[in-house]
Amino acid sequence: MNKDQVLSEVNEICRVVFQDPQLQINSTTAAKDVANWDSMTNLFLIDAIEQKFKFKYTLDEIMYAQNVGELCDIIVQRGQGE
Amino acid sequence: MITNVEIAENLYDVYKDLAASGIVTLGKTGRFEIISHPGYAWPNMIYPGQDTRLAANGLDIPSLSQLPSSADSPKLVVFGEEHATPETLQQLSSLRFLPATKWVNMTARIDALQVKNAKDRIKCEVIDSKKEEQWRDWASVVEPVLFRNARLDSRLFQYAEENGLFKLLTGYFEGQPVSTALLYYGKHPGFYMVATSPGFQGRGFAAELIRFGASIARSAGHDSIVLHSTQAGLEFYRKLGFQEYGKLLLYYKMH
Repeated sequence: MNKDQVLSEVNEICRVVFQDPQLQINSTTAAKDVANWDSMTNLFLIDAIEQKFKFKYTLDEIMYAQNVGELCDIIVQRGQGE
Repeated sequence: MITNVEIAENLYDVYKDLAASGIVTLGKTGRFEIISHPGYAWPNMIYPGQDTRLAANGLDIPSLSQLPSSADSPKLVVFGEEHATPETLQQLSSLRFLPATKWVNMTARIDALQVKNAKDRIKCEVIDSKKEEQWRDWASVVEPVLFRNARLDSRLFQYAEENGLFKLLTGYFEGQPVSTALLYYGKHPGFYMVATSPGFQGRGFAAELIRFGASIARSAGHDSIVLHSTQAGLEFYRKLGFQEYGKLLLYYKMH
């Protein structure tokens, strides 16, 4: 999977986690751009991504990721979208 | 003066009282207690057991690694900030329990509540959750606002009402349910599940419902009331006259 494909999968996860079936994210989408994206739902999102792509972010990656693009980059770097 | 520990204890006692219903499941991991209600949004929580609630006793964090991994197991652990030593937080991180949110413990004297009359008034009612329409009115506000549309179990609330543990309050505006609160009677009466539907927020409805609920608590002989505010709700409750008494920390267990 390339980054665009990963982003598409993550978009589906975001729609479920943030309860917005119309939500459209891109690489620069961050917490400030999405209603209901708070510290709690951020962990729901990370948890759901980890389960979907079957890997675990490091604690630093969870703490310092700035936007959806960075979360997706890590998935691609780890080869988890294959 | 009510302490942080007492306010936390008060919340844990709510879970303990509900566990007696037999409707929810109670378990243990080490010295933590687990209340779970598979298939329903609430209550699902891990909290300090009776013998470890004081900070001096510490929390049995390693036991959290023994938690069942089923999807139905609670993933949130709550404890008072007095337990948050660097060592405890390090242990939690190593088990992939990450900080999810904080609840600020607050209390107010009922006769000192500062509630102005809203421009638009609501009709405040104590509902009977056995009556399907009244239950649906209450749940139709709470479930989407606080529980991401996950379902609450009316049987549990009926049990709590029948046993004098809860009163469910609904505020109606022009006949439509718009605000809710749950008044519980522990050692200290408290509010839980204070919610207002998105289109009706900022109009003083929740404040009016709190005043209504506080008057019920006062009639029952209480002179103060407690609650746990999210960070977002802090200013609202401060304006009503609530004061802060420490925090409860909520950590989420990653997969």
